[in-house]
Amino acid sequence: MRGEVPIPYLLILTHLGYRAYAEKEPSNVFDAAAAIADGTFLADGTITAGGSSVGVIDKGARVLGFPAFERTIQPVKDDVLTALGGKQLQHISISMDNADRYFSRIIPGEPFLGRALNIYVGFEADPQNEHLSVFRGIITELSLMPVMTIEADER
Amino acid sequence: MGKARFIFYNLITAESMLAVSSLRAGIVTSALKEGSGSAILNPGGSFTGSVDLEYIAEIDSISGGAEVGQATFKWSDGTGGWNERGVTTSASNLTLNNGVMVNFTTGSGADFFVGDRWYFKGVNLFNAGKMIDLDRDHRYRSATLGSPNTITVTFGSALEVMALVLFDHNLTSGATIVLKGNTADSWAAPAFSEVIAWSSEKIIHFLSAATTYRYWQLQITDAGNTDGHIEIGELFLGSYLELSKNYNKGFSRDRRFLKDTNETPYGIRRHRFYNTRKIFSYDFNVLPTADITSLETLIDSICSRSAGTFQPFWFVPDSASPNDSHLVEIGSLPVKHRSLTWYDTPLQFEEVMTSV
Repeated sequence: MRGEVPIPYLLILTHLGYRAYAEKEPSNVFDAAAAIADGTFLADGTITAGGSSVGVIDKGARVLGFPAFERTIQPVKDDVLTALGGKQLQHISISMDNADRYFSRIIPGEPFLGRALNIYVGFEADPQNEHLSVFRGIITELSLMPVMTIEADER
Repeated sequence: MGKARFIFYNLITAESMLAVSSLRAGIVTSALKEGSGSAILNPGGSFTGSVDLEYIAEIDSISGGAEVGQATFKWSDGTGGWNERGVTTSASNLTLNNGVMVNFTTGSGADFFVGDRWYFKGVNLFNAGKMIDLDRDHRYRSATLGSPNTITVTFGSALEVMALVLFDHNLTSGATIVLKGNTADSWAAPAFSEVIAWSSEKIIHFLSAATTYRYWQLQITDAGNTDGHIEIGELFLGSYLELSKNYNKGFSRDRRFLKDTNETPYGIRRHRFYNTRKIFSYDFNVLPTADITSLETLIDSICSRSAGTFQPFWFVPDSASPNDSHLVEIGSLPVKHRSLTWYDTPLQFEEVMTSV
């Protein structure tokens, strides 16, 4: 699998579990069976529990576009010492494909507002605990239009 | 060369019509609670159901006490009514069905009040229903390789089948694929049996003769499959449309590149390539009214104003080479009157993509 391009993807943690969405169908470690204690792996210390899979309840190619991330770790108005401990809180806006009203049907029973949204970048064949976390936040706003926009604030 | 064919009306209309001999297990979600008791319901287990289910557990009595081990609950898997009532809550796992288990963690104060309710799901990202959703990214996946792996289709009544489609599969060239039909769900000596020729990734097979049965079974033996399981994206059983006249010579195909490109002021380009999409243009000329009616029936079948759905279909340019076919979407149905009862209709199709 080496030589492939890492994919950015987002995980939304609803009351029922994690939902994974990307610009393409997430595969490999997103396959749910890897999370099941079915005897495939032994508790012999060779694998970190939960590290090799995501165990999502839903996944799909639903992301129309990821936003540009803005991260400032040294605000110009602060002195050096203050700047070292300060950072700009990110706000992101993600466009999701809702043309078939997929999310419109889900959200009444499984609300997204106020739920955690994490964005990662990683190779699908690599364990999920090796993926790079680029955003952790809370969903603060969403619009259930054909293009669903999710707004989230870093926490 | 054979005439073009359109495959669009799948007789398998619900995942409940499908039964598979082997299914990769799914998962049980966390629970969403409504109620004021302090106890927590913990769902668990490996979901083995053939279709996704929505479970509800509800406290139905605290006459014996309001704590874990005293109160009782009823539960439903959403298939109609309560499956069981008066089940005593327990800190140890209680098996509901389809591999789903629950236990309760006690809290501070009263654990339960009558009416406390939990909602959770048993979901499988690879269940048999993924074979009929026309989403090429979604696949049915077996747990193991069987001898054979079977997919049984049960219609409500005997229905005529003229075509089989196995799309986006992982079967190897060593696979033995047999389609059987019968009047009963019994497969030792079925009334109909036909071997299906293998083709990489997609198989479109026209039956030797239109055949009518209620029960159908696909038997697949692929012991050498290195994936360790069989995987199928789409399964179709049904009829097809063949117009009275074929398309004109001089059809065109285009293969468009889906990519991002940047260019510096010096003209240096760099690309991020994603995929290619095929575009097909065929001119069907001098068609009789009956053919136009058939095409309009096709459009009515793939579009649903009430459900808001617009479905793709398989287009087979040459029925003598059925595997050189694609799952496509149609942009419009232009009909131009030529003379008397003859019409021209230039059709353009776009390939439906997969991202895996």
